[in-house]
Amino acid sequence: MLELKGQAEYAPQTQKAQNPRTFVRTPVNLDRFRAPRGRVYVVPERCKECNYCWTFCPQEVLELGAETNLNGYRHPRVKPGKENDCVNCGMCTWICPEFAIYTVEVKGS
Amino acid sequence: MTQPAFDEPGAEVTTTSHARDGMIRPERFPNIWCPGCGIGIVLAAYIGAMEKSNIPSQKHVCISGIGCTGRAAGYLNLDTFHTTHGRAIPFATGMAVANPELEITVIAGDGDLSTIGGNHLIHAARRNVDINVIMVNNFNYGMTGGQHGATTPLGAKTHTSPYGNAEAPFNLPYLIAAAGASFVSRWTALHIRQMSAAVKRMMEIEGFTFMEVISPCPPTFGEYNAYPEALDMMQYFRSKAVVDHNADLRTVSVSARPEDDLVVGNFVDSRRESYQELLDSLRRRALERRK
Amino acid sequence: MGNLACVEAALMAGCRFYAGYPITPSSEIFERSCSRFPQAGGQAIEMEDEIASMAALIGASYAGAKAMTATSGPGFSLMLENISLAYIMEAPCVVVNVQRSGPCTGIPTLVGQGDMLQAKWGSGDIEAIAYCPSSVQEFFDLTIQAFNTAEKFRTPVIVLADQVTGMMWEKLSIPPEEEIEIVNRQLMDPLRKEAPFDFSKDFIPMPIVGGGCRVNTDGLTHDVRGYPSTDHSVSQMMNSHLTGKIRNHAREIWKWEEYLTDDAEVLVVAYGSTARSALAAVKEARSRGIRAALLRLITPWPFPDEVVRKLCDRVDAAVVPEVNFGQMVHMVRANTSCSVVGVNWAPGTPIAPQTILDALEVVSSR
Repeated sequence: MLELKGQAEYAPQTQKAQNPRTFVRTPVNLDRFRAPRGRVYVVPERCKECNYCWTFCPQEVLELGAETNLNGYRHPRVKPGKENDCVNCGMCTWICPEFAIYTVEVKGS
Repeated sequence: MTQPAFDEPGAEVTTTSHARDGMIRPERFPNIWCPGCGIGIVLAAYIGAMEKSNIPSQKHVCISGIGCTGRAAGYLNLDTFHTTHGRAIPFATGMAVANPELEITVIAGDGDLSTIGGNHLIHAARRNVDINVIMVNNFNYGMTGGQHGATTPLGAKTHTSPYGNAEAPFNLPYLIAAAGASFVSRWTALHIRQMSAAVKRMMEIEGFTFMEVISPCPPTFGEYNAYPEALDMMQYFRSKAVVDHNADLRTVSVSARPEDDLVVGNFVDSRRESYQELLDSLRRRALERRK
Repeated sequence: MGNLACVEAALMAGCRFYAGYPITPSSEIFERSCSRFPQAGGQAIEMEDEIASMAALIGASYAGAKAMTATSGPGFSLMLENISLAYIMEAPCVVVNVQRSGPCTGIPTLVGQGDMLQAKWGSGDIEAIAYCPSSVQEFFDLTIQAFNTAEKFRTPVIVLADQVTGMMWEKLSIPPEEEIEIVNRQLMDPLRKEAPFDFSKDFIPMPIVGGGCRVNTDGLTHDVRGYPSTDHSVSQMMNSHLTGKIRNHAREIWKWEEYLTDDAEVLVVAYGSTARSALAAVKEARSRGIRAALLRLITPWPFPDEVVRKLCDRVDAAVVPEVNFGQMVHMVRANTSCSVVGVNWAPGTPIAPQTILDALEVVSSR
């Protein structure tokens, strides 16, 4: 079990997870391995701009959007250029306190 | 799901319903909690655990108390009860004894459960009543504007402790474990998967199971104690939370100061006869004597 | 003993859940429940205090059980908040208050009647239903009646006994089971399509947990869906329903007993163990030529105002003896134009018939 006791600053995951298809050493089953991919769904009227989803997305797929909902909160959007990088990890789905964002796995290549 | 699934990656899809809307009461959303409040996250974790448990959702019951966390039950698509301040646990005990088939979860705040409801909390742990208790700890009475309670750290500022809190808080995992609970854990609003896995474990265990979830409370506790934005406290969890399932419970008190560690984990996972089991044996003995 | 009769009555009414806390002079109810309820297939548990007992009752009621507890004055005060919770949640349950000398800790082992007004007005603005037994037989009969009323009206019902009726020993006649009428609550259909609470009706079916009703039952003021609301119209609707269901049927709930009221000049209005002394006083007064009569209130709540008004308005004076410093006398006075005299008696012993007789003689000589 990973011992996390007494670690220094919790290192953000982003450096390691830039692109799951880049590896230090090439795994032998790389041609059969596919990282899952996901599509982000947002429920804008529920968002309260708490900023958790885009802060904690390990793939840094999301950013704070510009459109406001009826309550004046700006909901997240996928960063332009990062549409293929969502790996359907579910972090945003789990961390959103408002049930305002979720991902669905995208099948196919 | 009302809209067709998109089977290509692409930009975000805006929609009006959520994948988990079956388990919540979507007509009541957006909910009343502040932006960044961790209670909604606890609900998501609870729903995730319910879905993974082998218990049909109609046997799940959620009982909550008064306060911000007390509103949690009202957002779930289950048999839910919003009871009086501090009394969710005895309410749950009566229900559990009258119908032991139910999977009862109490979701309430730190003021509700450990301050006004402290007596009921320790007795339920002592009896080992088979209920699950999820206590959201935001270190104050949030709904009423931010007054101090039994979990407010020493020296912390709240509206009723403007010169700093003169009371030391409860070390809840230590207290509840000593009272006899079968399962004691603490997680934060950031530790979503561990939290949900722990809730699922709580549902499996026959006995009193307790989880403390540390949550941001930006406008009250956070504002006055170095965490003005909800993200500030989440970053505090990220950098200072230490996972130690074998921690010495005497040392896991929370100070909520940015420089101090915050120990989390599943501290106690044991088994002893639950209250319902003991009452069942009692009834068998009574019927024997009647013959 | 009255207390023991109460337990037997509860069992015959179908009660299978007891959650309580020991307090003199009701502890016999708790003790007998602990031995009899498990034998009957139920459970009787001790909670850490009376607040928890009342909360447990509501939980058990929603789990489908008929639930009861027993307490006395100080414990009853602790139960008040949760009695109002049972009221707003429409949970049928029975609370037996074997009243003792007060105030506060008072004299635990001796009689008092100090909780009469508290039963209605102690827990906020609720409609209360209460029964006041005057004998062991009545303690038995009214306990069964209390369960039936609780189930029909989906509300907490209080049995306002006192130390005398609770601890006295009298002959009790238990009817065969077939002759006892038992009323059970209406259950909600989990497959219903419409909103769970129809506040326009007096009686709403109850959503028992575990059946898939998925209803939110709330202590906050709530709308027809069960969701909390701060809207005044919602408060109006919910409160009208809660008070209406009892007020609209008050006449069927009222129970009282009259003795020689047809030609009376002075009326004694009494309840509980005091009514026994009052009856003796009235009989003695008659033998002395005073045309006295007795109105015995069996349901102090809802207060039978029409009955009191009808009987009091035709007499010259009403005398209200109580083992307290004036509680139900205020209700009588508010509902009649005749002159009302209270006979107050400090708690600690029942009122002697002579005391009531003295008052009758004073009143009738005016």
